[in-house]
Amino acid sequence: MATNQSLKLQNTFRPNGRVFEVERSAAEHSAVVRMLLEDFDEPDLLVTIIPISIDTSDDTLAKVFEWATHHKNMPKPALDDDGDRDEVVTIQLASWDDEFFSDIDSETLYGILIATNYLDIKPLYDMAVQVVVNMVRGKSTKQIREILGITSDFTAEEEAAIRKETAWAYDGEEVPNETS
Amino acid sequence: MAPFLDIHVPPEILQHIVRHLDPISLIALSQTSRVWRAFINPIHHDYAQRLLALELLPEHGIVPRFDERSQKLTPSWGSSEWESNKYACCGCMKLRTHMMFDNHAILRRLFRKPPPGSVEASNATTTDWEPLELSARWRHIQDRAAQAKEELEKCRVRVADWPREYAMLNPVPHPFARVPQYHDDINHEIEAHLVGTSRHKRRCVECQRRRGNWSRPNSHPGSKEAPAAKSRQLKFPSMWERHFPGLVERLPPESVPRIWRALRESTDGIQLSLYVLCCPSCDTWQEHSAFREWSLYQFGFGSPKRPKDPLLCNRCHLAAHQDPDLLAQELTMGALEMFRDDRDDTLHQLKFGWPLIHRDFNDSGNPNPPLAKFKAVGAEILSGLRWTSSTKQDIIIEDSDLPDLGRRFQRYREFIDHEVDSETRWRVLQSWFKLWFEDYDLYEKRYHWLNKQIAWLESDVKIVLNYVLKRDPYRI
Repeated sequence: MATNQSLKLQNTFRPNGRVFEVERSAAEHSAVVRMLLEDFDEPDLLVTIIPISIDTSDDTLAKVFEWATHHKNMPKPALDDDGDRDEVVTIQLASWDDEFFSDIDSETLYGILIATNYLDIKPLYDMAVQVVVNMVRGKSTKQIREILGITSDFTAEEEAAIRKETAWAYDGEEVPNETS
Repeated sequence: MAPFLDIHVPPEILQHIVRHLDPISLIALSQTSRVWRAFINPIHHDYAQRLLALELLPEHGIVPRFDERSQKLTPSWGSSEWESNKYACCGCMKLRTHMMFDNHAILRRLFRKPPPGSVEASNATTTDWEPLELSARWRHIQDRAAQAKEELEKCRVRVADWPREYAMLNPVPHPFARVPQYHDDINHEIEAHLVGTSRHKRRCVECQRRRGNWSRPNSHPGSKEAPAAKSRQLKFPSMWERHFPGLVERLPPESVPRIWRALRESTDGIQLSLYVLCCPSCDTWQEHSAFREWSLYQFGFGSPKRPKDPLLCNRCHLAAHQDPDLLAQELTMGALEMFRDDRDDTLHQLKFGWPLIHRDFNDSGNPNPPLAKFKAVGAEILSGLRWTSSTKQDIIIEDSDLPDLGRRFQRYREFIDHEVDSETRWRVLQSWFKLWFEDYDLYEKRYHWLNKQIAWLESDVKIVLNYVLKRDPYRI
């Protein structure tokens, strides 16, 4: 089976979605695409455009396929290997991946999460989760709001009650930073 | 407009992200908005996990290492690193200073802060939050706790069995052979798997009192009106330093006579137990010296005397009586008594060697006195000394006698150093007398120094009061 063939994928969630031509070995990072290749006639899939419907931009998908192309030679887990999706493992990003994520804004990052969840690209999904976790880890409530673009919808009384919830952690001292 | 994680990303992805957070960030995220609060829905268990993770942060002190084999603590007792350490109390959910815990609560294997890399420290880096209903989540928490307990029990059995297994593998034909100390790998297993695993059960002295842990007779050293808890032992160079820390500057260690560190070089003080008492008036826990009953726990035994009623801390005493002079008088009397005791001890040491010098020159009670042939020198050194009795077991001296006594000693030192042969010198300078001979100047210096401190305290009755109110040395 040739591995340098290309697949055409188009996001049909919005009209006139961009058609991506992705090397087969890169596209196979997606468990969904691999299942399609196994279940349907390969020659047909290689000439037709595979429709995918993800609520994310073409630019985000381009980033996903950029990652997949860079890692096209990375071993892929077997389709029947479900692994433990709920297992909590901390991932250390390699330097290329670290640079890849440092270049993208939060909108693209969330898009990558959605796209990789849909396409079932576990390594990239896990990395994106880890990046979001790293953004939040060790931050105060105020900082998290700024980073994740969350607006507080608590009333002043609720906010005060919430501050009290954790202010007790410090025995008669100033609370170090906001409600943390 | 910035995209919102909670709006743009499906809940299953959010759940996955939240499960990767640490307990501190989990609570911080739950406090950002109503959506996140409803989504995470933190329970008491999450707050407790947060608190236990907080105590491991560097800003709440480095994790103390306790070597069970040598019983050595790093950082050492009394160091600033140790003093700044905070410990979690999962009763009142606060990070509190070590003085608010008894020894067991922060030094026992299962209650200590876990070292980095241990199972417990690793657990504290990630929350066990799950996207489940409360009842289901609680069941999971219980199941995990049961599983952890089972693992813990296995590890405890392995550790407990180790000396027996060691003894079987390395038989010693000696019934009184020393119990082997833990091997490195067993010690490592203890540090990695056992230390800190019961931190969630740690309670401060206030929580123990409120929970009624001390309702049984003799279960704690205080009374109902003045609850007290024994904390840890510390070394102090003297009683006045223990009860009035920093009131006067200590003498440098090289000026301390070796009689007080005779057991080993590192012994530089008296080992004393610390107690904390709760003032019934202001309801705050303070070191027991703040209550002016300095002899209450002096020897480390529980409640030898019933505290005065009411036992008020210094500040409450001042507020209740509105009489600074009364408090100043009580404090000064206490401090003076300790300094005078210390001076008496020093004087006793100063006098210690004179009967022995007399014995070495004379044959009274000594069949073969080593300096018998130097009777003339003996007379020169000892004549005119006032003895308490004809047996010449002790001398009477007053402050005005000290210069004369010093001159006599200098003559004796000159004589021993230059006029006797080495064998006689060796026979004379034995045991405690040798220490006395070598440290005589230190005793004299210490005596004069203590006299100076006593005169200073006597000069103004407000000195100790001002020190107590300004430094508040007993507040925890």
